[in-house]
Amino acid sequence: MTLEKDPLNLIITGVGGQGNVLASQIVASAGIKEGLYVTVGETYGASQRGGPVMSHVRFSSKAQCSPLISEGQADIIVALEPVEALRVMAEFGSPDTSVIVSPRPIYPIWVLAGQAKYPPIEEIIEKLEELADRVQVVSVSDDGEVPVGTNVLMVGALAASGLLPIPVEAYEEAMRDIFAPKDLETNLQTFRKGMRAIAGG
Amino acid sequence: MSTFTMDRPGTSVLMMGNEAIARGAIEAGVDFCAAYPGTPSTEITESLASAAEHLGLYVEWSTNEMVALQAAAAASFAGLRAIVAMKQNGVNVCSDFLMTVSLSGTKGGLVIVAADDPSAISSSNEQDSRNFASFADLPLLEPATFQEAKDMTRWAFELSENLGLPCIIRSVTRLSHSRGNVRLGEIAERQRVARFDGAYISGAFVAVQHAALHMKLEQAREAFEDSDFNWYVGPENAKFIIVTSGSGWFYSREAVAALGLDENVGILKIGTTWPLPERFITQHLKQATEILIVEEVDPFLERNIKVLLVEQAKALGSIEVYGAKSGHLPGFGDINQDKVARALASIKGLEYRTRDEAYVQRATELALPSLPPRMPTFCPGCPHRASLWAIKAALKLDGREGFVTGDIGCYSLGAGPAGFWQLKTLHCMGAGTGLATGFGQLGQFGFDQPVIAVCGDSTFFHAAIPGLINARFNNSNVLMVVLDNGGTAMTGFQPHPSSGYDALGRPAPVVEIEEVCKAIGAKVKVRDPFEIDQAIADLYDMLQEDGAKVMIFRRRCHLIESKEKGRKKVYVEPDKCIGDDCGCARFCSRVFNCPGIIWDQDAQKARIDEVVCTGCGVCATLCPRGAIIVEGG
Amino acid sequence: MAEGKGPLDLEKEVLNEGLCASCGACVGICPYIKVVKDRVAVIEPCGISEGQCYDFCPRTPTDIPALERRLFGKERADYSLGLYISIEMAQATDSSIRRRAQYGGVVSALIAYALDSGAIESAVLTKPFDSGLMPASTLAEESVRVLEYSGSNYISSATLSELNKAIKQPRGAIGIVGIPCQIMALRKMQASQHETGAEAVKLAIGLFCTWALSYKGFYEYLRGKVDTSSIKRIDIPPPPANILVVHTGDGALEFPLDEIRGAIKPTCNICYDMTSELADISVGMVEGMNDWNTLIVRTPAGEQLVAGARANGIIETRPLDEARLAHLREASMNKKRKAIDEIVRRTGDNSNLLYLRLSDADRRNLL
Repeated sequence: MTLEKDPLNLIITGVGGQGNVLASQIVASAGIKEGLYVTVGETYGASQRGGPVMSHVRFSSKAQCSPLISEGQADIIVALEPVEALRVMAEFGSPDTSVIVSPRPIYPIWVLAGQAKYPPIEEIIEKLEELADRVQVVSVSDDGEVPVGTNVLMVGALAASGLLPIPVEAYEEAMRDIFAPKDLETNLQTFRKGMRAIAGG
Repeated sequence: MSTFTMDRPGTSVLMMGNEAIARGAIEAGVDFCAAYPGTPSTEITESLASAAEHLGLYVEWSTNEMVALQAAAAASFAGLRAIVAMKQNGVNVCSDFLMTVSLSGTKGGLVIVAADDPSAISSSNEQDSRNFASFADLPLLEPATFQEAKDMTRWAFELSENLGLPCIIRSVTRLSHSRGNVRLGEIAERQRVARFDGAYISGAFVAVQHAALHMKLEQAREAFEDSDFNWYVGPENAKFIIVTSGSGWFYSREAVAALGLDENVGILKIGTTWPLPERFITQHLKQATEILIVEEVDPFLERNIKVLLVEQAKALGSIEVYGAKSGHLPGFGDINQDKVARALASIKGLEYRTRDEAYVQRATELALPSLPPRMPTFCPGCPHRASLWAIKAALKLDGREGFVTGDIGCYSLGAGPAGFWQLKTLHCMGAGTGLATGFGQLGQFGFDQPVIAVCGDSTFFHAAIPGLINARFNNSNVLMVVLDNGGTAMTGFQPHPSSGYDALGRPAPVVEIEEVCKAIGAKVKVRDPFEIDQAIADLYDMLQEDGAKVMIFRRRCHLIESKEKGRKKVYVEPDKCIGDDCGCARFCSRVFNCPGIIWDQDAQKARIDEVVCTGCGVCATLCPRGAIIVEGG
Repeated sequence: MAEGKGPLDLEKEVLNEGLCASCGACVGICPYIKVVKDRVAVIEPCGISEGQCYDFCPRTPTDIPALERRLFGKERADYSLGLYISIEMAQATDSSIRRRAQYGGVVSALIAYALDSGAIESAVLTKPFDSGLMPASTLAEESVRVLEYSGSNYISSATLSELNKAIKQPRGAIGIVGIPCQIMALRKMQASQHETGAEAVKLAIGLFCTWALSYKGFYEYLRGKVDTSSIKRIDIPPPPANILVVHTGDGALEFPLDEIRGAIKPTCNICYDMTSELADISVGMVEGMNDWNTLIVRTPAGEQLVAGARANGIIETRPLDEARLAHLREASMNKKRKAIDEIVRRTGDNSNLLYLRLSDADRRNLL
C-alpha cells in the first residue's frame, strides 16, 4: 500500500494509567498487517504514576521511521484527556492536524491541591479548534456511567474516522492477536462503540 | 501466539526493541537468563520468562545485577549460552565482575545487554555505558533499528564464543521501548549440556592476561571490519558525512531528509562501536572534509573517532569535526531529529523550521499558560503515601530536625510533593542506608539530628543489607524503614526474594526481611502503614533509641491488590464533609494528595473519582469527620 | 479571647517555646496536629489563620476574668483560691476505694457516683500507667471501670484528646477528671465561637497540681533504675520526706525529689493555677492526713453532686481547719508569684504576661 502522506504521523496521548500503550499497539499492529513500516515511540516509566504519556505512531510504506515525531509534524492527534490534547497540539500540531479528543478530565495533583487550575473543557476545545484543521469530540461515557476502556473506544473512533488508510478488519485482527480470549469480546464491543460515537458526529 | 516463540521465519511483526533483543537471544538458542529489573531493560527478561517453559530455558530474577552476571557467567563457563540484561546503573553494580571476567575469559556465549536511559526519564542519573566497553576492553554492539536489535543479539553469542569474552550490547530507552517492524528468523535448536572443566582465574599473571585481552579485541576489530552492522548511505563522494551509531541513525536520516540534504550529506552508521572498525571508517572518510558526530549520551564515538583521525592523519588529511565538543550537540541528555536538524542547519547556514513562526507563537499563547503541570505522584492506594506521612509526623513530633535519606524505587518520588518532600538525599541502590550509617556516627561532632533511611523491599535485598550490618557492627544510630509492598514495583512488580514466587510465577522459598534484620542484630518492628497513628507512635519510640533499628512498613502495592482482589467502592458523604473549615482544611484532596480524591469546586466538598480510586480506604481512616465511606467496611 | 490565630502561631508562641502543657485540647480536632507520649506537634500547617487549636490552648492569651464570669457569674474575690461555694475535708466511705485510689479516694468515689446516679453518662478518665511510664485516657461508661483509672499521675498526658474523640458525635452528659491546665482548656473550648460539642461536659473535677514531669525527662531518669513496665503506683509523701516513691511488682524504690525536679515541664513554671480554679469540684491532698482529701466545691453542679454523694453515704465530709486552709492559700499564692516571676523573666516586661489576661485587681495583688 502507498500512503498519500509518507510518513503519516499519529500521536496518541493521555495520562499514565489510561492505557495509551495498548491503544498504540493495536493501531500499529493493524498497520503492519497492511504491510506498512510502523514505528511506535513511547514515553513511559514514571508515567504510571500520573504523569502525561504520548505514543508517537509513524506509518511509512518506504522505510522504518524514527520513533519520534518532530515539532509540528503530527498529522493526527488522538487524545484520551483534554488538557493533554492541548499540550500535545501546542508542540506537535499544525493547521493541518486532525484531532480526536475525549472531553473527560483527569485532574493532576497540583490541581487537586488547589495550586493550579484546570481550565474549562469548552475553552480547551475552542483552543484546539483554532489551532487544528478539524476537531472531533468523542464522548466516552453516556448517562453518567463510569467510563472504562477509553483507550480502546478512542481507537474505534480513529478507525472509523477515515484518517488512517487502514481497514477496520485490520484493527479487529490486531485485537484478536493482542487480547486474551476472555477479554476479547468486551474490547471488541468497546471498539465498535467508539466507531459509532464518531459516526454520530 | 507469542511473537517470541513464533516459528515463522520471514514473518514481519511489531516488536518492542527489548522484545526484539529477547527474540534474537531465542533465535541464537540462549539457555540461561539472569537479570535484575531496571528500566529500560526489564522487558527483555520478562519476554524470555514468558517463553521459558515452552522453550526449556532458565530465567531468573536475581538479587542484584552483580549476582545476575555471575550466575550467567557460571552458565557460560559450563558451556551454555547466557544473557544478562540491566539498566545503566546495573552495569555499575556488576562492574567489578565485568573487570575481572574480561581477564578470566568465558566459554559459552555470554551477552550483556546494557540499556541506558538518556535524560533519566526513569533513573537517578544518566550515563553512557558504552564507556564500560572501552574500560573493560570488551566488544560492544549498538543496535540502531528494531531489526538490528534482534540480529545483533543473535550474532553476539557467536562473537562471544569466538573470542571467549562477554559481548556488550548497548541499547537506549528510545530503542528498547519503541516498537517497529521485525522480520523473524529461525529459532536455533538447543542441545547443549552443561559441564564445567578448565579454570577461569582472573589474577594469575594479570599483565599477561591483559595483553591477551588486547589481542582478543584486535580479533573483534577484524571481525567488525566487514560487518553488515556498519553501513553508509548517501552520495558517493560526499564531503560532509554524519557519523552516527545507535539511536542517532533514525534521527540523522530524518534530519537530512527534513533539510533536503540527501544529495549532499552522507551518513556513516556504525553498529560495532568498540573496538572501532578503523579500516572501514577510514575508507569512508577519505573524501570527507567535515563530519558531524551524532550519538547519545557521551561523545564516546566522537572521542574515539578523533583519536582515529589523528592516527590516520596522513591518509585522511584535515577533517573538521562537529559534535559535542563543538557545541552543536549537547553531550548530555537525549537527542532527537530536531536537535540533529538544528545542528546540521547551523553548520550549513540553513534554516530549520517545522512550523510557521506566527502559528508557534499563537499555539504557545493559547496552550501553555492554561495547562496545569502534571507531576508524577504515587498511584491511588499506594502505601508509600501513608508511610511517608507517618514518617513526616514522627520526625516533626521528635522535634530534632531529623530527615530522611532516600533510595531507589517508587518511593523515590518521596523527594517531591507526592511524598511530602521527605527524602533529602537520593543517589543509587542502597545509598539511603549507607549514608544513614555515616550520619549515625556523627554524634561526637555535635550531630543530634535523627536519620531515617527508607528503602524498598527489593532494594533491601539488592543493596541495603551491607549498610545495615555496618550500622550494627559500628554501632551507628540508624532507623531503617523498609517499605515492603510485596514486589519490585517501580519496574512492573517483579518478584524478589521475599515475594514467594519466581520469574516464571512458580512458588519460591521466602527470605523474610525481618528474620534477616534480626539475624543482623537490629531491633525490628513490623507495622501496616495504613494504621497511621500507631505507625507514628512506633516510629517516634524507635527514634528515641540508639543503635540499628528497622521498621518494616508492610502493605501490598494496591495496584496489584485491586487487580487481583477487585476494588471496594469508596465515596464521600457530602453532609459530613467539612471541607475548608477548621478541623479539615481539605486534608484529603489538598494535603494527602491521592489522585483518587477530587475537590468539587461547585459543591465545595471532597469527592472520590471512581475511575481513579482503587478502593484502598486509607482516606476513610484519615478523614476527621468520618465523611469518607468504604462500602463493605 | 479568640484573638484569631492559627497553628503557625500556636507553634511559634507555645510549641517552639517549650510551653506546651500536653493537655491535648488541640489534638484530635484535625489531621494536622498529633501527639505522641507528651509531645504535641503541628505536622503540617493547615493554612487556616483562625483555628480552634489556638483558641483552646491554655497557653495562648486567656481572659481568666471572662471565663470566671461565664462559669460563676462573677469574678473572684479570693485571689489565692478563686471562686468557691465550700472548702472541706472529705474521704470515700469505702476503704477499698481509698486503698486503691490516692489519699481519700474522693475523686474516684464522686465519679463512680456520678455515673451510677445518672448525673453523667460517661467520663473521660486517665490512669497513670499503661504498661509503661505514660498515662492513658479512656471514655468510661460504667462505674466499675473507675478504679482502674484511679491514682495520681505525675506526667501530664493529652487527656483532652480523648474528649475530642468522644465529642465527635453528639453525647449525653460527660464528666472529666483533669489537672488545672486541662480544665482551663476545657473552659476555653466551652466558651469558644467554634461549635465543639464541649458543652456536653457537665462535670469537671479538677485536681490540685504543683507541677508535672515531662515523659522524656522522667523516663531518662528512671531508665536503668526501674523496669518502667512494672510500675504500679507512684507516691510523693508529704514533707519533710522530699522523696518520690515508685511501687513496682517487686517492692518500693525511693528517689530524691530534688533529682526528679530536673524533669519538671518548663510550662509548669509559668502555671498560675494550683487548685483547678475553673473546675466544678477541685480535689487535692490534706497535709498530714493521708486518708483524706481537700474538697473545694465551686459551682452549683458540683454542689449538687457532692450533696447527693454525702446523702447517699458515698463520701464523708468534715470541716477543714483554719491552719490548713491558711497553708493552702499560701501554697497557691506562692505558685502564682513564682509563675509571674518566671513569666516576667521570660518576657523582660511587666506588662507582657504571655497567656495570662488578669483582672486589674489580680494584677495589683501579684505584681
